[in-house]
Amino acid sequence: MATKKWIDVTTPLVNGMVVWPNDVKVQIERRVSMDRGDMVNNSTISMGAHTGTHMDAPLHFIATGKSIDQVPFDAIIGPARVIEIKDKVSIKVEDLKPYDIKRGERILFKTRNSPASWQNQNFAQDFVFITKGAAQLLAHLKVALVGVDYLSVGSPIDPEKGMKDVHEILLGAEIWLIEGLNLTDVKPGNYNLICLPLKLMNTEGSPVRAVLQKI
Amino acid sequence: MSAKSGKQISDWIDISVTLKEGMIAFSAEPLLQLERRRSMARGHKANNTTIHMSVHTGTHMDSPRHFIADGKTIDQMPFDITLGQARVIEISDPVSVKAEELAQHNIKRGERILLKTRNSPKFWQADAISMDYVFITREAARFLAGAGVKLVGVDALSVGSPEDPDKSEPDTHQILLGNEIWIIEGLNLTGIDPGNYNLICLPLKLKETEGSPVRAIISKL
Repeated sequence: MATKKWIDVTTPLVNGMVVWPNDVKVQIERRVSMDRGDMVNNSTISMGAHTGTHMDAPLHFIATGKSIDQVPFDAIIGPARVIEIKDKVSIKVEDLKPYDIKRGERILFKTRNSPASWQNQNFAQDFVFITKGAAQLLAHLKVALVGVDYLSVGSPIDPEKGMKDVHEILLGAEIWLIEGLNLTDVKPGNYNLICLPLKLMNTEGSPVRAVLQKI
Repeated sequence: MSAKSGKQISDWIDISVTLKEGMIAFSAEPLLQLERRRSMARGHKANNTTIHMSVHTGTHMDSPRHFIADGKTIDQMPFDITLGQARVIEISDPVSVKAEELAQHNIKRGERILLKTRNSPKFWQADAISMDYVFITREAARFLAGAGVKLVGVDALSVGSPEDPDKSEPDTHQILLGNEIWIIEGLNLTGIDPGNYNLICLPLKLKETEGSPVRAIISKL
Protein backbone atom coordinates (compact mmCIF):
# COMPACT_ATOMS: atom_id res chain seq x y z
CA MET A 1 0.00 0.00 0.00
CA ALA A 2 2.83 2.41 0.77
CA THR A 3 4.86 1.52 -2.30
CA LYS A 4 3.42 4.14 -4.65
CA LYS A 5 3.01 7.80 -3.97
CA TRP A 6 -0.36 9.16 -2.86
CA ILE A 7 -1.53 12.28 -4.68
CA ASP A 8 -3.54 14.67 -2.55
CA VAL A 9 -6.60 15.88 -4.51
CA THR A 10 -8.01 17.81 -1.55
CA THR A 11 -8.34 21.60 -1.41
CA PRO A 12 -6.75 23.08 1.75
CA LEU A 13 -9.19 24.37 4.36
CA VAL A 14 -8.18 27.90 5.29
CA ASN A 15 -9.78 31.10 6.54
CA GLY A 16 -10.92 33.24 3.61
CA MET A 17 -11.16 30.35 1.13
CA VAL A 18 -13.82 30.46 -1.56
CA VAL A 19 -17.17 28.96 -0.54
CA TRP A 20 -20.54 28.65 -2.25
CA PRO A 21 -22.41 32.01 -2.33
CA ASN A 22 -24.36 32.48 0.94
CA ASP A 23 -22.65 29.53 2.64
CA VAL A 24 -20.92 30.25 5.94
CA LYS A 25 -17.27 31.24 5.86
CA VAL A 26 -14.58 28.91 7.17
CA GLN A 27 -13.33 29.93 10.58
CA ILE A 28 -10.31 28.15 12.00
CA GLU A 29 -9.66 29.83 15.31
CA ARG A 30 -6.67 29.11 17.53
CA ARG A 31 -8.62 29.37 20.76
CA VAL A 32 -5.65 28.39 22.94
CA SER A 33 -2.28 29.54 21.63
CA MET A 34 1.36 29.03 22.65
CA ASP A 35 2.13 32.36 20.92
CA ARG A 36 -0.12 34.00 23.48
CA GLY A 37 1.49 32.18 26.40
CA ASP A 38 -0.80 29.15 26.66
CA MET A 39 0.74 25.71 27.28
CA VAL A 40 -0.65 24.20 24.07
CA ASN A 41 -2.26 25.11 20.78
CA ASN A 42 -5.94 24.24 20.44
CA SER A 43 -8.14 25.20 17.51
CA THR A 44 -11.86 25.35 16.89
CA ILE A 45 -13.39 25.05 13.43
CA SER A 46 -16.66 26.39 12.10
CA MET A 47 -17.59 25.56 8.52
CA GLY A 48 -20.33 24.41 6.20
CA ALA A 49 -20.38 20.67 5.59
CA HIS A 50 -20.12 21.53 1.85
CA THR A 51 -16.84 23.44 2.08
CA GLY A 52 -13.77 22.73 -0.05
CA THR A 53 -13.41 19.08 -1.03
CA HIS A 54 -16.52 17.45 0.40
CA MET A 55 -19.13 14.75 -0.13
CA ASP A 56 -22.87 15.06 -0.66
CA ALA A 57 -24.98 12.23 0.75
CA PRO A 58 -28.46 11.57 -0.70
CA LEU A 59 -29.97 13.44 2.30
CA HIS A 60 -28.63 16.70 0.83
CA PHE A 61 -31.52 16.81 -1.65
CA ILE A 62 -33.62 13.72 -0.84
CA ALA A 63 -35.66 14.18 2.35
CA THR A 64 -35.56 10.46 3.20
CA GLY A 65 -32.12 9.79 1.73
CA LYS A 66 -29.08 8.29 3.44
CA SER A 67 -26.83 10.53 5.52
CA ILE A 68 -23.03 10.74 5.25
CA ASP A 69 -22.45 8.45 8.27
CA GLN A 70 -24.17 5.72 6.21
CA VAL A 71 -21.82 5.83 3.21
CA PRO A 72 -20.50 2.32 2.46
CA PHE A 73 -16.70 2.23 2.33
CA ASP A 74 -17.03 0.37 -0.95
CA ALA A 75 -18.29 3.57 -2.63
CA ILE A 76 -15.26 5.62 -1.65
CA ILE A 77 -12.33 3.20 -1.41
CA GLY A 78 -11.09 1.29 -4.43
CA PRO A 79 -10.29 1.72 -8.11
CA ALA A 80 -11.49 4.95 -9.71
CA ARG A 81 -11.21 6.37 -13.20
CA VAL A 82 -10.23 9.96 -13.93
CA ILE A 83 -11.91 11.06 -17.16
CA GLU A 84 -10.79 14.30 -18.77
CA ILE A 85 -13.60 16.40 -20.22
CA LYS A 86 -12.47 18.91 -22.83
CA ASP A 87 -15.87 20.64 -23.11
CA LYS A 88 -15.36 24.11 -21.68
CA VAL A 89 -18.95 24.63 -20.58
CA SER A 90 -20.47 21.43 -19.25
CA ILE A 91 -20.24 17.64 -19.07
CA LYS A 92 -22.69 16.40 -21.70
CA VAL A 93 -24.00 12.97 -22.77
CA GLU A 94 -21.84 13.17 -25.93
CA ASP A 95 -18.75 13.80 -23.79
CA LEU A 96 -19.39 10.56 -21.84
CA LYS A 97 -20.19 8.29 -24.81
CA PRO A 98 -16.56 7.42 -25.76
CA TYR A 99 -15.69 6.10 -22.29
CA ASP A 100 -17.67 2.87 -21.93
CA ILE A 101 -18.59 3.68 -18.32
CA LYS A 102 -19.69 0.59 -16.42
CA ARG A 103 -22.01 -0.20 -13.53
CA GLY A 104 -20.36 0.32 -10.12
CA GLU A 105 -17.51 2.49 -11.41
CA ARG A 106 -16.09 5.36 -9.43
CA ILE A 107 -15.74 8.23 -11.90
CA LEU A 108 -13.85 11.49 -11.31
CA PHE A 109 -14.23 14.23 -13.92
CA LYS A 110 -11.28 16.45 -14.63
CA THR A 111 -12.27 19.65 -16.44
CA ARG A 112 -10.80 23.08 -17.04
CA ASN A 113 -11.93 23.84 -13.44
CA SER A 114 -8.60 22.26 -12.45
CA PRO A 115 -6.80 24.60 -12.18
CA ALA A 116 -8.70 27.58 -13.65
CA SER A 117 -11.62 27.79 -11.21
CA TRP A 118 -9.43 27.10 -8.18
CA GLN A 119 -7.06 29.92 -9.17
CA ASN A 120 -9.92 32.39 -8.88
CA GLN A 121 -9.96 33.94 -5.40
CA ASN A 122 -13.70 34.53 -5.76
CA PHE A 123 -16.52 32.12 -6.50
CA ALA A 124 -16.11 31.02 -10.17
CA GLN A 125 -19.73 30.87 -11.29
CA ASP A 126 -18.83 29.74 -14.84
CA PHE A 127 -17.38 26.39 -13.72
CA VAL A 128 -17.86 23.27 -15.86
CA PHE A 129 -20.94 21.42 -14.52
CA ILE A 130 -22.87 18.20 -15.21
CA THR A 131 -25.93 18.59 -17.45
CA LYS A 132 -29.26 16.94 -16.62
CA GLY A 133 -28.82 14.57 -19.56
CA ALA A 134 -25.37 13.47 -18.42
CA ALA A 135 -26.67 13.01 -14.85
CA GLN A 136 -29.48 10.79 -16.20
CA LEU A 137 -26.96 8.72 -18.16
CA LEU A 138 -24.73 8.26 -15.07
CA ALA A 139 -27.80 7.28 -13.02
CA HIS A 140 -28.86 4.83 -15.73
CA LEU A 141 -25.36 3.31 -15.80
CA LYS A 142 -25.52 2.97 -11.98
CA VAL A 143 -22.04 4.23 -11.25
CA ALA A 144 -21.14 4.12 -7.53
CA LEU A 145 -19.51 7.52 -7.20
CA VAL A 146 -19.10 10.73 -9.18
CA GLY A 147 -16.43 13.29 -8.37
CA VAL A 148 -16.15 16.80 -9.83
CA ASP A 149 -13.43 19.42 -9.66
CA TYR A 150 -15.40 22.39 -8.39
CA LEU A 151 -17.90 23.07 -5.64
CA SER A 152 -21.02 21.54 -7.21
CA VAL A 153 -22.16 18.97 -9.76
CA GLY A 154 -24.85 21.44 -10.88
CA SER A 155 -24.48 25.06 -11.91
CA PRO A 156 -26.38 28.17 -10.85
CA ILE A 157 -26.07 29.43 -14.45
CA ASP A 158 -27.09 26.19 -16.23
CA PRO A 159 -29.49 27.33 -19.01
CA GLU A 160 -31.58 24.20 -18.25
CA LYS A 161 -31.83 25.32 -14.61
CA GLY A 162 -30.38 21.97 -13.54
CA MET A 163 -28.82 22.94 -10.21
CA LYS A 164 -31.41 21.09 -8.12
CA ASP A 165 -32.32 18.44 -10.74
CA VAL A 166 -28.74 17.26 -11.33
CA HIS A 167 -28.30 16.69 -7.59
CA GLU A 168 -31.68 14.95 -7.35
CA ILE A 169 -31.01 12.68 -10.32
CA LEU A 170 -27.61 11.56 -9.02
CA LEU A 171 -28.44 11.41 -5.30
CA GLY A 172 -31.84 9.85 -6.04
CA ALA A 173 -29.97 7.01 -7.80
CA GLU A 174 -27.83 6.71 -4.64
CA ILE A 175 -24.71 7.84 -6.45
CA TRP A 176 -22.41 9.33 -3.82
CA LEU A 177 -20.85 12.67 -4.82
CA ILE A 178 -17.46 14.22 -4.18
CA GLU A 179 -17.38 17.92 -4.99
CA GLY A 180 -14.47 20.32 -4.84
CA LEU A 181 -11.67 17.99 -5.93
CA ASN A 182 -8.52 19.64 -7.22
CA LEU A 183 -7.34 17.42 -10.09
CA THR A 184 -4.68 19.83 -11.38
CA ASP A 185 -1.83 17.34 -10.90
CA VAL A 186 -3.73 14.26 -12.07
CA LYS A 187 -3.66 12.74 -15.55
CA PRO A 188 -6.62 10.78 -16.95
CA GLY A 189 -6.48 7.05 -16.16
CA ASN A 190 -6.98 4.47 -13.43
CA TYR A 191 -6.18 5.10 -9.79
CA ASN A 192 -6.80 3.73 -6.34
CA LEU A 193 -9.04 6.18 -4.52
CA ILE A 194 -9.35 6.74 -0.81
CA CYS A 195 -11.88 9.38 0.18
CA LEU A 196 -13.00 9.58 3.79
CA PRO A 197 -15.70 11.84 5.22
CA LEU A 198 -16.11 12.53 8.93
CA LYS A 199 -18.65 10.33 10.71
CA LEU A 200 -21.18 13.12 11.20
CA MET A 201 -24.44 11.72 12.52
CA ASN A 202 -27.57 12.30 10.39
CA THR A 203 -25.76 14.88 8.28
CA GLU A 204 -26.20 15.41 4.54
CA GLY A 205 -22.52 15.89 3.73
CA SER A 206 -19.04 16.28 5.12
CA PRO A 207 -15.66 17.74 4.32
CA VAL A 208 -13.36 14.90 3.24
CA ARG A 209 -9.74 14.05 2.62
CA ALA A 210 -9.27 12.44 -0.79
CA VAL A 211 -6.11 10.85 -2.18
CA LEU A 212 -5.26 8.97 -5.37
CA GLN A 213 -2.58 6.46 -6.25
CA LYS A 214 -1.78 5.53 -9.86
CA ILE A 215 -2.60 1.91 -10.69
CA MET B 1 -6.83 -1.91 -1.14
CA SER B 2 -5.79 -2.51 -4.70
CA ALA B 3 -7.98 -3.78 -7.48
CA LYS B 4 -6.07 -7.06 -7.36
CA SER B 5 -6.77 -7.76 -3.70
CA GLY B 6 -10.51 -7.46 -4.44
CA LYS B 7 -11.33 -6.14 -0.98
CA GLN B 8 -14.99 -6.11 -0.13
CA ILE B 9 -16.98 -3.59 1.86
CA SER B 10 -17.12 -5.92 4.86
CA ASP B 11 -13.33 -5.96 5.14
CA TRP B 12 -13.15 -2.46 6.55
CA ILE B 13 -13.90 -1.97 10.23
CA ASP B 14 -14.76 1.55 11.34
CA ILE B 15 -12.83 2.48 14.49
CA SER B 16 -14.04 6.11 14.49
CA VAL B 17 -16.61 7.35 16.98
CA THR B 18 -19.76 9.04 15.68
CA LEU B 19 -19.70 12.84 15.80
CA LYS B 20 -22.97 14.01 17.33
CA GLU B 21 -24.27 16.68 19.64
CA GLY B 22 -23.94 15.69 23.29
CA MET B 23 -20.98 13.37 22.67
CA ILE B 24 -18.37 13.12 25.40
CA ALA B 25 -15.56 15.68 25.44
CA PHE B 26 -13.12 17.20 27.92
CA SER B 27 -14.82 19.89 29.98
CA ALA B 28 -12.63 22.72 28.65
CA GLU B 29 -13.45 21.98 24.99
CA PRO B 30 -16.20 23.79 23.07
CA LEU B 31 -19.15 21.45 22.48
CA LEU B 32 -19.75 20.05 19.02
CA GLN B 33 -22.74 21.53 17.22
CA LEU B 34 -24.26 20.28 13.97
CA GLU B 35 -26.58 23.06 12.94
CA ARG B 36 -28.96 22.28 10.08
CA ARG B 37 -28.92 25.82 8.72
CA ARG B 38 -31.17 24.93 5.78
CA SER B 39 -33.69 22.16 6.22
CA MET B 40 -36.13 20.42 3.88
CA ALA B 41 -38.29 19.75 6.95
CA ARG B 42 -38.57 23.52 7.30
CA GLY B 43 -39.34 24.04 3.60
CA HIS B 44 -35.89 24.64 2.10
CA LYS B 45 -35.08 22.86 -1.15
CA ALA B 46 -31.97 21.19 0.33
CA ASN B 47 -30.49 20.24 3.67
CA ASN B 48 -27.33 22.12 4.58
CA THR B 49 -25.45 21.81 7.84
CA THR B 50 -22.84 23.94 9.55
CA ILE B 51 -20.27 22.20 11.77
CA HIS B 52 -18.85 23.81 14.90
CA MET B 53 -16.27 21.78 16.80
CA SER B 54 -12.90 21.65 18.46
CA VAL B 55 -10.40 19.86 16.23
CA HIS B 56 -9.71 17.54 19.22
CA THR B 57 -13.23 16.09 19.22
CA GLY B 58 -14.02 12.38 18.95
CA THR B 59 -11.54 10.37 16.89
CA HIS B 60 -8.85 12.90 15.98
CA MET B 61 -5.15 13.43 15.39
CA ASP B 62 -2.63 15.58 17.20
CA SER B 63 0.23 16.94 15.11
CA PRO B 64 3.48 18.08 16.75
CA ARG B 65 2.24 21.71 16.71
CA HIS B 66 -0.31 20.83 19.43
CA PHE B 67 2.45 20.97 22.08
CA ILE B 68 5.57 22.05 20.15
CA ALA B 69 5.59 25.76 19.19
CA ASP B 70 7.48 25.22 15.92
CA GLY B 71 6.26 21.63 15.28
CA LYS B 72 4.62 20.37 12.10
CA THR B 73 0.95 21.10 11.51
CA ILE B 74 -1.66 18.54 10.47
CA ASP B 75 -1.62 19.62 6.80
CA GLN B 76 2.10 18.75 6.70
CA MET B 77 1.59 15.11 7.67
CA PRO B 78 3.11 12.61 5.19
CA PHE B 79 0.50 10.01 4.14
CA ASP B 80 2.97 7.28 5.07
CA ILE B 81 2.23 8.05 8.73
CA THR B 82 -1.40 6.93 8.58
CA LEU B 83 -1.72 4.70 5.49
CA GLY B 84 -0.27 1.23 5.83
CA GLN B 85 0.25 -1.67 8.17
CA ALA B 86 -0.54 -1.13 11.85
CA ARG B 87 -0.46 -3.35 14.92
CA VAL B 88 -3.17 -3.45 17.57
CA ILE B 89 -1.58 -4.26 20.94
CA GLU B 90 -3.84 -5.17 23.84
CA ILE B 91 -2.79 -3.61 27.14
CA SER B 92 -3.82 -5.58 30.21
CA ASP B 93 -2.86 -2.96 32.81
CA PRO B 94 -6.13 -1.33 33.98
CA VAL B 95 -4.47 1.95 35.01
CA SER B 96 -1.86 2.99 32.47
CA VAL B 97 0.26 1.90 29.53
CA LYS B 98 3.68 1.22 31.05
CA ALA B 99 7.10 0.65 29.49
CA GLU B 100 7.37 -2.85 31.03
CA GLU B 101 4.23 -4.02 29.28
CA LEU B 102 5.22 -2.47 25.95
CA ALA B 103 8.65 -4.13 26.22
CA GLN B 104 6.99 -7.55 25.83
CA HIS B 105 5.82 -6.74 22.30
CA ASN B 106 9.04 -6.37 20.31
CA ILE B 107 8.05 -2.99 18.92
CA LYS B 108 10.13 -1.99 15.90
CA ARG B 109 11.27 1.21 14.29
CA GLY B 110 8.68 2.78 11.97
CA GLU B 111 5.72 0.79 13.32
CA ARG B 112 2.21 2.16 13.61
CA ILE B 113 0.93 1.09 17.02
CA LEU B 114 -2.70 1.19 18.20
CA LEU B 115 -3.13 0.52 21.93
CA LYS B 116 -6.31 -1.24 22.96
CA THR B 117 -7.12 -0.92 26.65
CA ARG B 118 -10.11 -1.32 28.92
CA ASN B 119 -11.18 2.12 27.61
CA SER B 120 -12.77 0.18 24.71
CA PRO B 121 -15.70 -0.09 25.32
CA LYS B 122 -15.97 1.42 28.82
CA PHE B 123 -14.88 4.99 27.99
CA TRP B 124 -17.25 5.18 25.02
CA GLN B 125 -20.27 3.65 26.76
CA ALA B 126 -20.37 6.27 29.51
CA ASP B 127 -22.81 9.20 29.28
CA ALA B 128 -20.24 11.61 30.69
CA ILE B 129 -16.48 11.74 30.33
CA SER B 130 -14.68 9.50 32.81
CA MET B 131 -11.28 10.86 33.88
CA ASP B 132 -10.31 7.40 35.04
CA TYR B 133 -9.16 6.23 31.60
CA VAL B 134 -6.01 4.24 30.78
CA PHE B 135 -3.26 6.67 29.68
CA ILE B 136 0.36 6.44 28.49
CA THR B 137 2.95 7.09 31.22
CA ARG B 138 5.88 9.39 30.50
CA GLU B 139 8.20 6.39 30.77
CA ALA B 140 6.16 4.45 28.19
CA ALA B 141 6.18 7.52 25.93
CA ARG B 142 9.98 7.58 26.16
CA PHE B 143 10.01 3.86 25.37
CA LEU B 144 7.93 4.43 22.21
CA ALA B 145 10.18 7.34 21.20
CA GLY B 146 13.23 5.15 21.75
CA ALA B 147 11.70 2.38 19.66
CA GLY B 148 11.16 4.93 16.86
CA VAL B 149 7.49 4.28 16.08
CA LYS B 150 5.85 6.71 13.64
CA LEU B 151 2.29 6.65 14.96
CA VAL B 152 0.56 5.89 18.25
CA GLY B 153 -3.20 5.49 18.56
CA VAL B 154 -5.15 5.32 21.82
CA ASP B 155 -8.74 4.50 22.75
CA ALA B 156 -9.37 7.50 25.01
CA LEU B 157 -9.50 11.19 24.14
CA SER B 158 -5.92 11.82 25.23
CA VAL B 159 -2.60 9.98 25.40
CA GLY B 160 -1.92 11.63 28.76
CA SER B 161 -4.05 12.08 31.85
CA PRO B 162 -4.44 14.91 34.37
CA GLU B 163 -4.72 12.10 36.94
CA ASP B 164 -1.24 10.76 36.15
CA PRO B 165 0.64 11.08 39.49
CA ASP B 166 3.88 11.77 37.57
CA LYS B 167 3.92 15.54 36.97
CA SER B 168 7.45 15.71 35.54
CA GLU B 169 8.31 17.68 32.42
CA PRO B 170 8.20 16.89 29.57
CA ASP B 171 4.82 15.16 29.73
CA THR B 172 3.47 12.33 27.55
CA HIS B 173 2.28 14.61 24.72
CA GLN B 174 5.54 16.56 24.69
CA ILE B 175 7.65 13.40 24.59
CA LEU B 176 5.71 11.79 21.73
CA LEU B 177 5.16 14.94 19.63
CA GLY B 178 8.67 16.21 20.37
CA ASN B 179 9.97 13.01 18.77
CA GLU B 180 7.63 13.56 15.82
CA ILE B 181 5.43 10.62 16.68
CA TRP B 182 1.99 11.43 15.27
CA ILE B 183 -0.96 10.66 17.53
CA ILE B 184 -4.49 9.37 16.98
CA GLU B 185 -6.75 9.85 20.00
CA GLY B 186 -10.33 8.76 20.53
CA LEU B 187 -10.28 5.44 18.66
CA ASN B 188 -12.99 2.97 19.53
CA LEU B 189 -11.28 -0.44 19.45
CA THR B 190 -14.21 -2.38 20.91
CA GLY B 191 -14.34 -5.83 19.33
CA ILE B 192 -10.93 -5.50 17.65
CA ASP B 193 -8.60 -8.44 18.27
CA PRO B 194 -4.90 -7.73 18.79
CA GLY B 195 -2.86 -8.32 15.63
CA ASN B 196 -1.86 -6.84 12.30
CA TYR B 197 -4.14 -4.68 10.16
CA ASN B 198 -4.12 -2.29 7.25
CA LEU B 199 -4.84 1.18 8.58
CA ILE B 200 -6.41 4.09 6.74
CA CYS B 201 -6.68 7.26 8.79
CA LEU B 202 -7.16 10.60 7.08
CA PRO B 203 -7.35 14.02 8.74
CA LEU B 204 -8.90 17.07 7.08
CA LYS B 205 -6.44 19.36 5.29
CA LEU B 206 -6.72 22.14 7.87
CA LYS B 207 -4.07 24.70 7.09
CA GLU B 208 -1.55 25.43 9.86
CA THR B 209 -3.68 23.65 12.45
CA GLU B 210 -2.39 21.50 15.30
CA GLY B 211 -4.89 18.68 14.86
CA SER B 212 -7.97 17.48 13.05
CA PRO B 213 -10.94 15.19 13.40
CA VAL B 214 -10.27 12.05 11.33
CA ARG B 215 -11.97 9.00 9.91
CA ALA B 216 -10.03 5.86 10.77
CA ILE B 217 -10.68 2.34 9.51
CA ILE B 218 -8.77 -0.93 9.58
CA SER B 219 -8.89 -4.26 7.79
CA LYS B 220 -7.40 -7.54 9.01
CA LEU B 221 -4.17 -8.57 7.33
